[in-house]
This record gives sequence, structure tokens and C-alpha cells, in this order.
Amino acid sequence: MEQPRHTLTYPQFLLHALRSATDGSRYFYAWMTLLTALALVGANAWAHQVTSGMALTGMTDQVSWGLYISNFTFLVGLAAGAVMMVIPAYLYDDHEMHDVVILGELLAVAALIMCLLFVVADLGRPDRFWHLIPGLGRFNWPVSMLTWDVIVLNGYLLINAHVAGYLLYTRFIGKKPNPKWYLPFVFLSIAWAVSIHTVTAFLYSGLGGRPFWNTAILAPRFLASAFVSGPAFVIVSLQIIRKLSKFQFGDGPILTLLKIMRVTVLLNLFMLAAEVFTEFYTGGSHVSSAQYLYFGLHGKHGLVP
Amino acid sequence: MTEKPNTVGGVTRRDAMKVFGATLGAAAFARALAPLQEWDASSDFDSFVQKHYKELTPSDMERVLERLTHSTKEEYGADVTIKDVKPLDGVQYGYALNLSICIGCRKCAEACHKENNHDRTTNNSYIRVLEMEQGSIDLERGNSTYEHPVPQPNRYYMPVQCQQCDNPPCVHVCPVQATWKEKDGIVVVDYNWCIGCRYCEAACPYHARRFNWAKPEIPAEEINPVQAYLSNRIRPQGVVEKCHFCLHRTREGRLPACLEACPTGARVFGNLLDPNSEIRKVLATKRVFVLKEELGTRPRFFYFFDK
Repeated sequence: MEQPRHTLTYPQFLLHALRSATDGSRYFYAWMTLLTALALVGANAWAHQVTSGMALTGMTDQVSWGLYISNFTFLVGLAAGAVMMVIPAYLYDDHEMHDVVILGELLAVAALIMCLLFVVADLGRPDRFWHLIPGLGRFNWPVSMLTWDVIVLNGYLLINAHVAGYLLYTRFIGKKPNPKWYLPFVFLSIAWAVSIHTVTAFLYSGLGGRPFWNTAILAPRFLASAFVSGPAFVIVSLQIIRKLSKFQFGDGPILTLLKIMRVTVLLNLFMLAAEVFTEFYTGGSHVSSAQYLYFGLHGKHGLVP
Repeated sequence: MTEKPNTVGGVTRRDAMKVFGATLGAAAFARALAPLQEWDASSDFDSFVQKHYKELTPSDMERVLERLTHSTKEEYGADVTIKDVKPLDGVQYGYALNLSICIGCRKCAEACHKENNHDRTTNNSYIRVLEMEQGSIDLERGNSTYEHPVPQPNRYYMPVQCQQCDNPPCVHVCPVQATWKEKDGIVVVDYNWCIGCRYCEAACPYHARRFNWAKPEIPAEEINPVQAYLSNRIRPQGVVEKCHFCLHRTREGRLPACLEACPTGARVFGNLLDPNSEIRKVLATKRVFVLKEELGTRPRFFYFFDK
């Protein structure tokens, strides 16, 4: 009789999780209060934006996507970067990585939730969100790349939430996790991680009217940069966790991530060089955006570093 | 925890504090989101559940038009007639513009502004007139914000609006099919279905689309009362709009407002399927080109030089 036991222990597990997630020292509560205060400012700003219009964001018909979409793109990369912990842990049986890999999966979950919130914040009509739900609205799949993104982002969120949730739950009830219930999802998540940032790049690279984006190198470069920023973020998080919590582990995972970054950062820089060469050597409309970004164009240089 | 929890009736003090904190947090969030109560859309249930244009039955549409007429009266104080004007059989619209005689006076943009009930504060219009340097057709160097007498020497003028492409990137990218090409060739937007993601605006190579960054403001006496669902009715905040070849006029046998306003006769509009139309004569006898042909968008808007 497996079934009735789970219906009892699973709510207990959730309650326990809620309890541990809200328990901590004075510093923890101070930190959570600070974060809540920041979130309140954001929520209030969003409520004003929805009510009186997106003109409040400073975006215009000329710059029609801004910080929301760039944050969304960055966070998709961060979520995809988590796979750099999953691959060593599961494909190469790196035991030390295996001990901390759940942090990568949880990072993916957190990053994806932020991604989806950024997309919602960028909608002029969040009340019409249901138009995007397959079956309820009119989902322009497979033609619109945005519908692909809806599928792959939510899918990746579910896969990671399942794997992390399952492992934590079996640990809670004191059983060994059954590989049948999570390994296939782990391997699916590896391929899926590549897909989320590829599809996100295709959002931009499919637009013929935007020469700077309309390049085949965009998806590979998105992935390479994700595999730099993802591990970098994880290393910083691991160091903080090691310093501030009782959860202890060796240097192994950090060194592995460092080795990965040594390769991916060079790949990313190489592709950047290839991109810059093609644009500046060719000139014409292909170079205009890059010129504007790096040097300014037609007397406009607000974004030049 | 090593210390013994401090409990009252089975509830630890810590749990009680947590519940208190969570309640405080929830109340603060409710307060932060309070501005949403002022939001027009939050009180309008019928428009929230309204179906896509193509799924509305004639009686659904009647109710929608009635609601829109009513809300225009309520919000703008104007009596308007909103119709659902359907495309005609055997008609494919095309537009041509004679660059040799356009003087850049922007009468077309102004006429569009008035005809289509554009927001007065932003002086919006579906037409941008580019002042171009003689010897170049590089749109990037076109100046759309000139403020001097026209025409200037060594300059020519190129009005740009929606090209009503036969292969429209804006339509392909829309995640919810809120924009589509009608059978007479006009690309339209269902303003009550658009979610405002602005992907179409990023996809359009001609900068033809506009977003309603705020609620349009128009004095009641300036509102054009002859309106259609898919064209010039006052747009809601937070949705995308674009040139629709004045379908509320052209589908009833009239000419677009921009054409009627042009003092030089540079604009030619008509049915591409009618062999005797002026537009067909232009296409057959002039050296015609389209903008950014290399992108494969196949515009329905043609340009030509006459001399």
C-alpha cells in the first residue's frame, strides 16, 4: 500500500519545506525583509505601469523592448547554465558535484520563475495572458518563436522542479530515490537546457529586419555566454553557501565549474570576435547597430561604455 | 534546534511570529498593488472574456460593437458609429507613391492622425515622412524629424507606412494570432486580442507599427465618429496598432485619407485585380520598386520616380 502513505507524507513534506524555508537567524529575517521591501517597490511600480500605461518605463516605438526583455534573456541563460552542473554530476558520475547538483536545479527553477515574471511585466495587457494558453487562447504555434519559448521555458521549469522536488521528497521520507523516476528527466533536462537558450536566440535571429540580430552565430553565442555566466553565478553562490551555512562540501565542484568556464569563456570571446569581424569588415546596415553600441552613431552615443 | 521551543497551546512562538509576518507581508503586497483598482480593464468582465475576432458570431460582434460604442461615449464623451467592415470579393488593394512629386509637406501624416483618431499628446500617425539625401536610398540616413520649409534643395521625400506585405514578418511572430492578413491584402490587428508583447513591432522592417504606451487622448469634438472594429476606433491602452489602408473607407469604395489629403497627387491607390485601375497603369508603365525587397517581405506598397 504505497499510495495512501504518500498522500499523508507529501503534505507533511510541503509543510516541513515551508517551515525550513522560513526559518533562520536574525540576519536571515533581516535579509528577507529587505528583499520583500524591494519586491514591494517592484510590485507597486508594476501596478502603476499597468494602470497608467507602459510609457512609464521610458520605452518608445523606437526602443520597444528594454530592460525587461534583456533581463529575461540573461536569466534564460542563467537557467540554461545550470546544466553545467548536471552534466558532470550525471553524465560523468562526478560524486562531489552530485552532492551539490540540486543547487543547480533549484537555480534553474528560480531563474525561470524570474524569466516568466519579466515577460509578464513586459506585456501591455497582462489581463489577456490567457490568450497565450494553448487550448484557451489562439496559440500561434509552430510559426511564432514566442510560442516555442512559452513551451520550452515552462517545460524546463517543470522538469527541474520535478527532479529537485522528487530528490528532496525521497530524502524527507528516508528512502533511496528510484532512478526510474528522475534519471530520464535529468537526461531530458540536458537537451532541454540547450533548447531554451536556442529558442530564445531564435526569437531575435529570425528577424530579417534587424541585421544585428539576424545572424546564425546568435544561438551558439547565447549558449556559450550562458555557460560562462551560469557557472560563474553558481561558484559565487556555492562560496556564499559554504561560508554562511552548515552545508559543507569540498572544492571539487568549484574547480570543475572553473575548468568549464576556462573553455566556455574563450569560446564566447572567439564567437564575439567572429561577429565583430563580420560586421565591421562588411559594413553597411550590418555594422550600424554594433557601431552604435561600441562607438555611437549619427551623434548618438548614450550606450557607449 | 537545540533549545526547547517556546509554545503556547501547541503553537511555537516562532510560528506565531511567522504567521504575523506573513499577514503583514500579504497586506503590504495588497497595498502595493492597490493602483490596479484604477485600471480600466480591471472592471470590464465582458471585454476580459471576449473571444478572438475570427471566433465571434455576428450576434457576438453586435454586442461587442455596442459595448465599444457605449464605452467611447463614457470615456471620451463622443457619439460614434463602429462597424465591422468586411473585405470585398475580387479586390486586392495596392498603393503606389510617386517620389518625384512628393514635397514632404506631411499633409498625409496629418490626415492619418485625424482620420484614425490618433493620440493627440504624441501626435501619432501611421505615416513617417523621411527626408532623404539626393543620391541615397539608405533609410538609415533619412530624417523623419525635420522642422523646416519643404521641399529643401537636393532632398527628396519618402513617406513610409505599413507596406501590407504578402509575407508579413509581423504576422508570423505574433504569439496569439492577434494580427493577420485579410483576404483583400490588408494586415489588421484585433485590438481586443493583442497582449501587447510588441514582438511584431520588433519584427517589422519598416517601423510601421505603433504601441499605445498610454491611453490615447482626444477631445470629444475632434473624434472621427465613422469607425470600424479593425481600423480607426479608439485603441485601448497597451496594444499595438498599424496602418490599415483606411479599410473603413476603402472597403466602402472611398479612398484612404492620406491620398485625399495629398496636395501633389503623389499617391495612387486601387484594386490590383482591376486591369483598368490607375494602380495597374502605374505598375505597368513606371519603374517601380519596393522598400527592402531583399528581405523577402513582398510589399503591397510601391514607390516610383516619374522623371
